[in-house]
Amino acid sequence: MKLNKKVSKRIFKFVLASSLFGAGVLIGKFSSFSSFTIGKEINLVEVSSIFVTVFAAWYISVILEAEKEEGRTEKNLILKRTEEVYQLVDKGQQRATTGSIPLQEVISHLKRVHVSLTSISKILVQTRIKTDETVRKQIVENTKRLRNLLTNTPVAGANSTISVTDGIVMLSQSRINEIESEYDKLKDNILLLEISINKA
Amino acid sequence: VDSIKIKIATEFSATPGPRYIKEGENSGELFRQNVLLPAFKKALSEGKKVIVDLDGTAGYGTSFLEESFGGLVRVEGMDYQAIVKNLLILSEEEDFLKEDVLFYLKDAHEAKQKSK
Repeated sequence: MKLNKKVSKRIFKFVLASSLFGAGVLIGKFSSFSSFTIGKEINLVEVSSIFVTVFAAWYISVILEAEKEEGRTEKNLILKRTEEVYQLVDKGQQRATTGSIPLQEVISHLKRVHVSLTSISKILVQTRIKTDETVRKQIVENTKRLRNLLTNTPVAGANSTISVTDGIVMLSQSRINEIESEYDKLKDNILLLEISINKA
Repeated sequence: VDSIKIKIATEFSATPGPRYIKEGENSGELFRQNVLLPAFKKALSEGKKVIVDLDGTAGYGTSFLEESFGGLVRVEGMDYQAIVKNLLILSEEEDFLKEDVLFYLKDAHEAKQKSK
């Protein structure tokens, strides 16, 4: 089936080329343009100019288009990965608002977010996709602040809005508000990163 | 210089926990008492360095690291300069933790100086 398609494509190209050539010959034979003369000498400079033009047209349409397509595919793959991190962050935010989460869940969530974002940054460098450096720095700061807000319990005796009992993190409402605000900032910055990747 | 290497994931726990023993399993307090402090005492007496490898765990809470390292100065009364001079932190997965550990040590040292 695939082979038939290829053969018919070739036949079509051959027929098209033959028709165009035939049409050219007919036009040349049966028409006369008083203001035009047809020279019989071949100017090598003009011939090379034609070859260069044809090559340039082919290069632009085939090679550059292929490169552009390849770049688009890379961007789409990175955007998909970034969106997965966004969803992970969103899920973490929802869990944090309950005010009571196992410490191990919080810790592994934060590490996963950090490692995933670092991996995206490395891939962006490897693929030479230039994005907003400020946004990437802000994302790192957001994750650091979140780590403190979610896992920094006080030294003995100090009052705090966070405590750990039997491995469960307990958060006060004011702490939850702070955490929510920081998660929102992180999500905004991930979104800005996605826009920056898309524009690059 | 010879060194004593501690890989937390294999020599303590792959899931480091809270700050204090009373708060849950695998705490920073327990790590400091059972692993870090003995290693530092041995290293300093033998003129060796202590290399702590943070990779390979499920992650670290701020309190675990603060209690482990800051606690060396605040609780165990160790000399800040001696610790910093002989400590090397390895952390490829979460590179910023190296800076964090040094910050906790400095913070504990400054708090101790102020309270004098």
